[in-house]
Amino acid sequence: MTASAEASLHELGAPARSFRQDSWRRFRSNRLAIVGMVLVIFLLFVGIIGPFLVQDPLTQERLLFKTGPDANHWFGTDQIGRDVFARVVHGVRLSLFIGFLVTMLEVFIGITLGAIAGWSGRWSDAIIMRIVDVLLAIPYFILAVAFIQIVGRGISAVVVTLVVTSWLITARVVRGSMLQSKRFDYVEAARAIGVPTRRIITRHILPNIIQPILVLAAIGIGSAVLAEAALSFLGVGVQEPTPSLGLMIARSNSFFSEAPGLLIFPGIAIVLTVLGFLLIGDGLRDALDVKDEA
Amino acid sequence: MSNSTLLSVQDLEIAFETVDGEVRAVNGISFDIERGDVFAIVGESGSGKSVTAMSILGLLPAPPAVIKGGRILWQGADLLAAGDERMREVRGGEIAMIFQDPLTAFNPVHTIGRQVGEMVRIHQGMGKKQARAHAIEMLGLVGIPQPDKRVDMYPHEFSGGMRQRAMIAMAIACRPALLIADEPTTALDVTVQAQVLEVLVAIKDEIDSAILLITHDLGVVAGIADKVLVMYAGRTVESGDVDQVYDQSAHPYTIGLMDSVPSIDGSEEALRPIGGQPPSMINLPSGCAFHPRCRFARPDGPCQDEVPRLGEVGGFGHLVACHYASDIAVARLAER
Amino acid sequence: MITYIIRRVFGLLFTVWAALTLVFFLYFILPDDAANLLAGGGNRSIPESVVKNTAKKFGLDQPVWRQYFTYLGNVVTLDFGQSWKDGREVTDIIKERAPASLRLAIWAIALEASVGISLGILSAKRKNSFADTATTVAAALASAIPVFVLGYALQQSTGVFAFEHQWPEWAQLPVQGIGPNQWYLAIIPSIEQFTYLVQPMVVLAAVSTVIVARLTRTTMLEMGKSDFVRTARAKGLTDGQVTRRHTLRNAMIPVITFLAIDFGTLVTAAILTETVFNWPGLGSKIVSASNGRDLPVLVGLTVVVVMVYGVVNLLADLSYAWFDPRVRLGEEGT
Repeated sequence: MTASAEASLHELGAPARSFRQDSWRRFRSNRLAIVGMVLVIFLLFVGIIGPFLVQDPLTQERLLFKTGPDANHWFGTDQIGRDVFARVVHGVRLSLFIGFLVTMLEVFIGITLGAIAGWSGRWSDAIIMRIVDVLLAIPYFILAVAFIQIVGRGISAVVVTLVVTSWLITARVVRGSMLQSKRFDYVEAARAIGVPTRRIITRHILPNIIQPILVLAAIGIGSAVLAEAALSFLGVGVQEPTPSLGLMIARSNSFFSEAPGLLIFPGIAIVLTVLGFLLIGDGLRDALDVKDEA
Repeated sequence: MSNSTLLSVQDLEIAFETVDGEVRAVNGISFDIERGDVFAIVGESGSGKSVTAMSILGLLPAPPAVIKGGRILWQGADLLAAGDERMREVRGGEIAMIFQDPLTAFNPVHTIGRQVGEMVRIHQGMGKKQARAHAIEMLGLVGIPQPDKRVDMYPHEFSGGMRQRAMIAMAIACRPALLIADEPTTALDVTVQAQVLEVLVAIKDEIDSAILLITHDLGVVAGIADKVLVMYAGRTVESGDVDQVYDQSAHPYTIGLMDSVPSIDGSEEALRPIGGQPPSMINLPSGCAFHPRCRFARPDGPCQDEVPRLGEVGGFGHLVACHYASDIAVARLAER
Repeated sequence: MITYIIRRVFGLLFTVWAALTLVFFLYFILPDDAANLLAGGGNRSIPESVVKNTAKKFGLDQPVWRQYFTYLGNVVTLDFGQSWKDGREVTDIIKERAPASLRLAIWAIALEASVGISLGILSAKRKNSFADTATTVAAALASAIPVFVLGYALQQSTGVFAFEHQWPEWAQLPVQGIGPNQWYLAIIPSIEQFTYLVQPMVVLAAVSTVIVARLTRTTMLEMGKSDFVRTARAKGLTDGQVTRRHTLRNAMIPVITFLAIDFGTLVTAAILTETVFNWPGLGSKIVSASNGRDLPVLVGLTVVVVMVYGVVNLLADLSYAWFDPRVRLGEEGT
């Protein structure tokens, strides 16, 4: 139906429903979104509780290299005798940890800077957007390499790099929403009455921006997990002996014929993790019916 | 139905399937449009007037819209039963539609000329050059200055009034016998509105077509229409010649409408709005749909239980659907 | 239109300059023991004099602003010095590696665009059908598989596994490398060349194809609801005509813009793909340079990537203007 037809349909008397109820109902009926939620809950369980239940991922058992799955080692052992199952579980925890941490930080920065850029107009907008453009022009791998020089290798370098690269998109989206919202009549009205700016932003505008932000955040967690895996794979992320799924995959290639599990198990773990968040993000997007700013 | 009847809508019923239930948008509308008529359908938003208009050309999205009954006779054949190919012939070729918002109704990435010309290219198989020449001619007919330059411009380069004229030009490109205008002036400034209406009337004479005008604006109807049908909650409540309906309104709703419009030369009485809310189309009131808001309704009468039928009141061809229509008509006459 | 282009070009120059400055800052300024590192330090301790000499050799003992201008000068003249690893001119390395990356990228984009857009249109037409849901699921899956996992999986199945288990010839693909490097008209591979090209190309395109398909589906559906599509139907056009002349034309605008913007993702994905398949392009070189701390090469390649990225963005902006007359001619009238 055309947009105008839909509007007339509403006038014909469909009962009023809160937006939240409507969205939740739509989300619930989206089968893929539910699958995503189940996946994420499962993985959260694995990541949070799992490490307490498994063996030590760092212990190397001598003489037990690259064995296949058996009763003691459900996923087998790796090339220096460590239990793969434990490493995968710890890897999931690490991925989730980095994913959430990075996303929280970048969303915070993104909203703050994006809101300033969108609201205050001209100068701050120009400066912030230029910074965004510049940072976007450099692939995150290179930034990672550079940051490592400063922060050193390992988790901190990964987190810093990913935060620096991720807030850009969030800021752009928030800025776009802000620019749109500024023009709405109710905002003009609030200003006319003299409502202080900060209150206008937090009470009136931000609630409307929450929708695209939620979608971005969900998908962002997935992206952060992927990015960390990629950086670790390339050697500029998490270092040995910390279990990282990307790192494990990198090391596994040469032993594939002998021990395919070294590639398959961490691989599946990553795919499931990212998939879960992606499906939730997609489901949120459909349920909230967001119009994206490109 | 006489020989000069172009379109005959009979007992049309249309509903929409929604998650919240079935929305009964049109509940038994009937009317005839003759050659040369300017026929107006008036009603509030949600009265079902746009839905009626769109259904003539089969433009309602098939789910969720459901045609529950009735016929739409065009040149003797029922359009509701027509196949896709026949409908495509009719659309634009025999019946053309003008939409409310000319900015969104045009494709922003094609020139006006191309979109106007598209009409004759599909229906008459004209080549590109011929179509462009024809488009220039049409643009000139509707009073757009310098049509040979304008033909290659894009929709956003036109002003609102000119865009609406361009839409009229596009609609008449194949000389359709019937023009359906869905709220043609609602998106325009008042001064521009008058101009566009003038163009509509002039064009109608020029190409000898009839106009079906859909609007909520009583002034527009008074300006150019010959016949008018007042719709409420998907039904006809009053219909007839414009003079009859305006001067001798006999339905409480129509009377309410007339009373709520300020007049320049009128008395200094306060305006009387119609109380209450428009009805929910999912849960229509029982009996006469207007009875909850009607100041003539009697609680001990049939208003709550029986749906009033259309009956002739006063002059020939003046139909009103109200249980107390004749009483009201008499009372109004006495007031004068 | 002209002013639009000029403004964009200046914007591009500024962005590139700022990015280059940032690179300088990150690579030269922040690590305060750069000379130590260069001299081979890091884990071993190097005698003071050696470090000092190294510093002098690479101009690291100059004041910062001097280094900066030298750096800028070098960048502009495209003189990046020699690789610390084997002494070759960085510009030679770039010239040697760039074609491989370009060819891979162009083929990947071609695949992405053709498959993605077709799938998207199909999905939109048969909304909520089995095909649509299948595409959605495939989309989610493909986005979730890391590039390198996909790469390894393909490599192992068509290369190692196929070989060990005696699959038919055509199903066995080379595990890595670029092979004979035979190209016709610079871009079309020979048959044998194609066997080397196909896997990295598919892997590189995989993620984005899916996004293109989803985006196309979304825009097609949105456009389908718009008023001008309704007008087109009211004019009596067939469904096919409506789709081709009206819906598609408008829906492609955001898609094509996306393809250009996606270049950034492509660069990163290319780094991973080239590493997995040992494809001798700029991406794999960046990785080896970073592992070997070969600064001149790193800087040189970074600059190239930044400049290319800037140009691609500019082209994206311009193409957007070309497709959408509202942008091209400015918003005149009401």
